[in-house]
Amino acid sequence: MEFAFLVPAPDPIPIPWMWLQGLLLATFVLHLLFMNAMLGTGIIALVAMFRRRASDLPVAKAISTTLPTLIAFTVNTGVAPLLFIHVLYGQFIFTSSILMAIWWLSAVGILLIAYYAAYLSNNMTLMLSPGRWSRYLDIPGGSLLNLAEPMLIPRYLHFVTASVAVGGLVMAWIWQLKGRKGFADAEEKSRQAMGWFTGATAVQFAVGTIFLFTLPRGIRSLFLGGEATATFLFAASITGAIVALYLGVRRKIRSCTAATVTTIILMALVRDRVRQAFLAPIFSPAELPVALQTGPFVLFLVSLTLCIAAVMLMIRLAFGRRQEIRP
Amino acid sequence: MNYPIWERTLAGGGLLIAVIAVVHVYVAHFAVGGGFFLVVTEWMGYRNKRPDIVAYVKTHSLFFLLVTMVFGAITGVGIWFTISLLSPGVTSILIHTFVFGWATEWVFFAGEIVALLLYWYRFGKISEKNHLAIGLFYVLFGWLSLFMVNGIIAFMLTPGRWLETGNFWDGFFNPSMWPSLGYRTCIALMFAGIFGFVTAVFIKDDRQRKTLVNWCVWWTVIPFILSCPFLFWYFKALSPDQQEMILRLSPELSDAVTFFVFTIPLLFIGIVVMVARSRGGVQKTAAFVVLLAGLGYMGGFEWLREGTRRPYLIYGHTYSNGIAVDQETAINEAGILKTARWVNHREISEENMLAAGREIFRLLCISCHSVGGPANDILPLTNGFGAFGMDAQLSGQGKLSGYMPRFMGTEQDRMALARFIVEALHGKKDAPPAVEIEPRPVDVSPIDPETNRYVLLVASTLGMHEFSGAPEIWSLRPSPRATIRAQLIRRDETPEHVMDGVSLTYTVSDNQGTPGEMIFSDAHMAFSAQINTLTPKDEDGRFNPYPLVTVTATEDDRILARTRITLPVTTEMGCSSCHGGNAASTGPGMNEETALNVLRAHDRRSRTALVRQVSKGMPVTCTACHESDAADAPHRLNLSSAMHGFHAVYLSGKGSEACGACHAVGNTGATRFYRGIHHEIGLECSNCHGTMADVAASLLMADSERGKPSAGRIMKWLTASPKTDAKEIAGRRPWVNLPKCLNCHVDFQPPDTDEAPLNNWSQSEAALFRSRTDDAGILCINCHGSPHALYPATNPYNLDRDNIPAFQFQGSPYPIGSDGGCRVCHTAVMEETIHHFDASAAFRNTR
Repeated sequence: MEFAFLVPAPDPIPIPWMWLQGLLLATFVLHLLFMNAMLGTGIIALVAMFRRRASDLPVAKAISTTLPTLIAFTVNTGVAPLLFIHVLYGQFIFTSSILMAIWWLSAVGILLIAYYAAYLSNNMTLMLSPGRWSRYLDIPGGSLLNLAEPMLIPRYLHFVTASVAVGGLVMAWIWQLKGRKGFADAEEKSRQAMGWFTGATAVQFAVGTIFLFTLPRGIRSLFLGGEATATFLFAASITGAIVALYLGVRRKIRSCTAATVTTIILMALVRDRVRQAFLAPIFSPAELPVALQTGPFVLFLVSLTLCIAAVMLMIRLAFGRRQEIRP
Repeated sequence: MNYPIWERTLAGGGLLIAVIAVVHVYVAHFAVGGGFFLVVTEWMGYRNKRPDIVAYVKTHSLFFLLVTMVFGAITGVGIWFTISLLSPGVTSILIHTFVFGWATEWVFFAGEIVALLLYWYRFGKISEKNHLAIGLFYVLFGWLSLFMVNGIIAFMLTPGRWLETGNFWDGFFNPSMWPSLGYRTCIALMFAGIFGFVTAVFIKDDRQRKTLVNWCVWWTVIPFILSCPFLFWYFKALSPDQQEMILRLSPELSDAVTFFVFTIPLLFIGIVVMVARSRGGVQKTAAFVVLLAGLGYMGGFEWLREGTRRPYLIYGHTYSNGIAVDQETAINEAGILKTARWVNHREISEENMLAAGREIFRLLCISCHSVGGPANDILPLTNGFGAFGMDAQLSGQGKLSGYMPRFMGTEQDRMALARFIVEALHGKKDAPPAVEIEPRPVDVSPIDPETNRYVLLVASTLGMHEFSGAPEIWSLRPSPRATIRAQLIRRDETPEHVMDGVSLTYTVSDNQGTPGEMIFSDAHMAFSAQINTLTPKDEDGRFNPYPLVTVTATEDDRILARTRITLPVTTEMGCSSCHGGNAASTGPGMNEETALNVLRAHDRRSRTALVRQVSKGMPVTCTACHESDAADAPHRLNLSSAMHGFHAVYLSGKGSEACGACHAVGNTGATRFYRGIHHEIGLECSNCHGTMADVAASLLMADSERGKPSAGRIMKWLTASPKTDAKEIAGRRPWVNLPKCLNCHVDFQPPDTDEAPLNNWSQSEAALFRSRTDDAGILCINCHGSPHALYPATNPYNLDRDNIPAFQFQGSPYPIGSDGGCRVCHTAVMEETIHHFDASAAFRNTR
């Protein structure tokens, strides 16, 4: 079966694709940060729970109070990039979701975070492999999985490892803030948390290398000198990671965080290049028909601005200096 | 068509979306209304200096946080995941058309989360004024989220001008958007009160609990009252078709309406109990009853809204099964398997029929129907069908009720789907084998013409007669009746047509009961009798649709002549091909289950209570309501028009096979009524009567001209026959305006055509073949045999069972007097004929 025929025809988009691409990347980075913080602190809390050390208890407690908030924001910020990826790549992701419908739907129900991340990876790789889609004709019940994909496991580990690093960073922040309030051995805890960050980031270099080498040769070579932009983005993100690791070892939490966020942004761009490279033989979002309607986009921008203003106002109302009630 | 279809069996249909959507919708409305509730209640606590009430608000807000932010958010994403999997094409349209609507909604929801978190975590830690201000931000963001989502939901029901312009704003500010927003806002406030009950009843302090329960009563009742005008406005904003679907209480919607309406009293009873019994478990139970009733109310409303949208997902744009309206023509022309992307079988053959049918099932059915699951299970819905019936059902589906989309694809596609459902899903084997008929010998020996003085010509006015095999449940007419007409001729050079001074009697099945008297009728110039005891049985009880009647002419107890004819009657109606039920144990035709299923279908479609009537011991007679000129029911179709009209929607395009689906005229059944010479030479029902669509359309046209609106509704769908153009067909009364023999046999000559022209019917009952006479006063049927059993008939039970009088008086099975057979009645050779032109010509279709 000629797989290109299977790819559904796309619907038109209301503004040029670059805007949507920008929004996709921006919201995706935001989602990654929350997701990493949630998953990473979750994993650290899990480890703390299994170690059953008395000294770990405050860690677990601190995490358990922030986790619901993190989950809420992870879900919320996940919605936006999912929306934009559906707009840009709908004909791929709707399709791949259906092929593995049972697993994809269980991602909603299954609260185990590891599962959630695991199957997400799976779908994001299946949508890049229309060549494997014709298996649907034998397995139409939505139980396909893209298990033959060589990059599946390294890719998954890449995200999990990043989460542990970011989780450590978030913990370090929490303890530093607590330290300011005079919490005992906050300094020590913060140091331990940074240990999670540096350890995970060191491991990430190994995982990342494996991930790189599981990419098909043609796509990998784009990032190793084959294409200027791709190579630049890749080199910049590796540099960012090295800088973040260095600052992490030095325990410069603030600048380490800045380096990490920069790296994540760069990595998101790299990831997008990978996706486009995979689909290049059959599709580029630049080919999407445009039925121009800018009004709704303006609506979005205005409401976004107003919402940010409102959030800032609310934060002032809630935490402003003179707002605390003296008990 | 564009996307693959996730093949589900048990979890097929709307189950997934119904479960997740109703829960989410309930919680989401609660989240919006609950914001108001929290802020207003908190404010009331401050103003009345009631710290206990403020403390309650704080407890309630944690419950609120967990329910709305976590559960609400996850189920919301869940709906999106679910609709992407079930209806990717439509989801893609919603996503692409409203991408910035969704993005804006996402912004508002993010603001909502921030506000709610701050509201909860800073409760009691900041000034009352600031805390209330944050609460108000929450209210605002919550309502704006509703504003955005409501516009898109309403769009699907009433897309308005968007259908032409494709413009975001046209779609968003669609006709039902504002009433829906008002209604949903009221409902949101009402749910805030309902959820308030759930936390309020657990308060230990009596005074506080009482205050808050009463407070929540207002929150529930006032918004409910306010919602009513919005609901009315909402209804008015719907298109006329949609309004009609609700008002007509189409069977698929009536459950939703019932559900919607009946949860309201439950809601109020629960509230009354809660207020009246202010202590203990009763109050708590009542609170949960109210909670469930609220869920039911919401579920009923959403069900009704979704139902009103049928047969579309986006009204007028995409059908429920995800196929865009503008693809329909292409699919019907090219076939569905050639149009869809995700299929294996592009060509259908006998070998891959079931596999191709499975793919078609996936494309057309699975979005709404499960296989064996709780939602809209296809199995009980298709249980009664064989492949033929299933195919017919598919052919007419979505035409009269408009709740389901019409079948899309070629006739071959349709049959593949029908066979998949019947053979693969139900495991039935198609087409029962032909019935084996035991011959019933009959004596046809001729009488010696030299000694015979009288000729007795007799025929039944009907050559086929069907009646219900389950008369204790329903019958078409009061009781089966047959009319026989006899003419006695004294042989002579100029024979005498004997009209008086003789007595004609009849006995059924040789010797059943006392002989009946035949009365001379001037109108027909014949002795006539109506026979009221008809059974398709032999004396020994075996099924025989051709019992014999013996007619004897006597003068002063002296027998002048005697002959026998068949009295065709059968119970073999084909209802069970579509209406289920097993073969009747009593003989061919329908059993009780089939008969009841027919009434169930009637009850369901026409909102009658016929099954209940039968259960009270009163059998149904169709003509009691469906008589042609019933004065009290001018909107009701006459029986023939209703039966042919309704069923033609399902059987159009099938040729004479369609007739045999109901009437006992097939060549494999136990009756095989169509047995005259026309059958023998290969003419079919449609050669004289036109196709099923022609028959139906002409009957409906007459009813339509009498101002019966349902006739027009059905006629709209009768376009299958190339001969039928609704504008050209002439109205026709059943049993009166029927095909004329002379349409083809112009001037009694051999015909030039075997396709009778339409619209040229006999003008009155007296002009029918069965009533007419020749120029000498001899009835057509007495020389030619009964309609559908014209001499020489080929009776399936015995070759010449229908030809006895012809054999007896003429020695051949051909029409009386043909082949120069004047000597049947005339004792001399006649030079010319006065009966009709060429009456004694050589019979052409000899055996």
